[in-house]
This record gives sequence, structure tokens and C-alpha cells, in this order.
Amino acid sequence: MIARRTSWPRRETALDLYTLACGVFLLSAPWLFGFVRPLGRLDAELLGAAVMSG
Amino acid sequence: MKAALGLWLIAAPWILGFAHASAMHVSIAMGVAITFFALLELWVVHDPDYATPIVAIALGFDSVNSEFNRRTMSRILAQPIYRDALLIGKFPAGLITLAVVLSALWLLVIGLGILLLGLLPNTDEVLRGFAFQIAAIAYGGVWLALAMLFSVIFRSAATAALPSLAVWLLFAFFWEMLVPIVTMAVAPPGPYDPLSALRTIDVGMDISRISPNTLFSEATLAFLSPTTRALGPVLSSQVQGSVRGAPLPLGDSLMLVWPQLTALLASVILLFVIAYVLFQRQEVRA
Repeated sequence: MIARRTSWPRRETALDLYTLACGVFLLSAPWLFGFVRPLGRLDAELLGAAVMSG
Repeated sequence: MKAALGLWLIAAPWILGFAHASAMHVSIAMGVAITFFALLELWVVHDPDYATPIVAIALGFDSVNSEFNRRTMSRILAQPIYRDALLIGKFPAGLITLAVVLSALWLLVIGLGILLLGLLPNTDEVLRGFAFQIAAIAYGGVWLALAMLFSVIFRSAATAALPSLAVWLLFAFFWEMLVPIVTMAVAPPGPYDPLSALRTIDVGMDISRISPNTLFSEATLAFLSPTTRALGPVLSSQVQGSVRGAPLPLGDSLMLVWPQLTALLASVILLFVIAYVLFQRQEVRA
């Protein structure tokens, strides 16, 4: 019979590192680029932390 | 989750009111990057069978009817071009876009593979990857042609998208459940005839292969797993003398799935021809 492909197991990949780098960049963006708007600053910091933890 | 965060980052400048600020550029760039990585992860970790049809349907479901809805069809066809040039132009455009997307993902996955494994693929592996890529484009072409066919039949884009998605859902999730039922009705195994069980399996596989998902799965299996020697039931007398687990050369794998590739390409041509004939017979004025 046909041996069906199964889903590949989840493990840490280079993609996670890229996403982590995006999170770090986002978290440090308010300081790097001197964001003026408080909402923009807060959004970047929160989302950066969320992306890093995800 | 990551894709949702990425999409939020893209929309946040307008929702939170910091558009036209430096924060906007960072937010959008990071949003695009995070969404792309999340989708790529979905592609790599989960089954690519699911991503290609969705992209193909998204490219094709409003390709013709949107011209009617925007009232640009008569304007386009008022130019000195043949009517079929429109469809013959739209289909390769969608297919080339799909091929570019799939090729970009394929190259990224190869790059990640080299990074993670630290090994370069040999010529045979690259050729197998290329053959898989061709099969994936043909598989995407089937869904693109189907979406375009519904786009010709239905004037509303939403109405055209629904049957395309319904057909995809049927083949992706329900076909495996329907095949044994239909097989048992068409060719039930006889209790006193052992060979009829073999016939039942063969009929079941033939019915299963109506689905482009099955054809693509089999092509993928043969190309990416060189030890695959057969895609159907094999009698013990047929494997006498064979070396168990020995990989097949690419040519033999190609011969194994040549019918599947031909069927995928034939489906693309058949669906396109139906769409072509229907479009040629349509009233395009107004």
C-alpha cells in the first residue's frame, strides 16, 4: 500500500532564529530609531516581546 | 500565532494612529518579515499539500469575473486582440506567479537544509528536488485552472471562490473517507476468490487517484523518498532478488510516477480547455 508522508516533528529551526532576531529588532526599534509616538513605542515593545516569547 | 502578530504589526500604524512616522516603517517591515517566516514555517513543518491549492485558488478565483464586475472586460476586448488572448494571458500569468512563489520557498528550504545539516545536496538530490518542484507547479496548475473555470462560470467572485474551496475540501479531507465506501460498492472482495481482494485494492487506488492530492502525494513520495519502489500492492514474487532499502535512480522514480505527472498535466489542460470553451461562448458586452 502507499506509505503516506507524515507531518514532520516540530523542532527548533533556523526559522525560529530569524523570528527571534525580528523580535529583538522590534523590541530595540524604539531606542534605535527614537520613536516619538508613545503608542508606536508601546506596540513595538509589546509585540517584540511577544514574538520573542512565541 | 506568529502570523497573527505579523498581521497586527502591518495593520497597527493605522489602527493605533502612528501612520507616517518612523515607527510605521519598522512596524510594517517587521510585520511582513514575521508573517513570511510564520507562513514558511507552516509550509516546512506541515504538509505543503495544503498551501499550494490555497495560493492557486487565491490567484485564480476572480481572474475573469473581476473584469466583468469592474466593467473592464469590454474595454480590454475593444483593443485589437483576439478574445482568447485574455484567457491565454491570464492563465500563464497566474501559473508563473505560483511558480515564482513555489521556487522561492523551495530555494529557502534548500538553504535552510544546507544550514541545518551542513551538507551540500548532490546532483541526484537537486534533480529530485527540481522534479518535485515541477510536480508541485503542475499540482498548483490544476487548482489554478479549476479556480479560473469557476471564475468564468460565476460572475460573483465570492460565488466562484466557494466551489473552488469546496472541491479542495472534498479532495483534501473527505476523499479518503469516500474512497473505501465507493470501492466496496463497486468492487467488493469475493469471499472465495483471494485475487478479488487485490482487484478491490486496485480499484480503490484508481478511485483515489481521481484526486489531484493523491497524484501529488504519490509523485512527492517517489521523488523525495528514493527507496520507494512501488506505489501499489506488491506481491512477494515481484520483489524476489531486489535489494531491500536500496534507492532507485532518478530515471526509475520518474518512470514510477510518470502516469501521475501526466494525469496532473492532463487535468490542467482539460480544466483550461473547458474554461476556454465556456469563455469563448460567453456574452462579453456590458
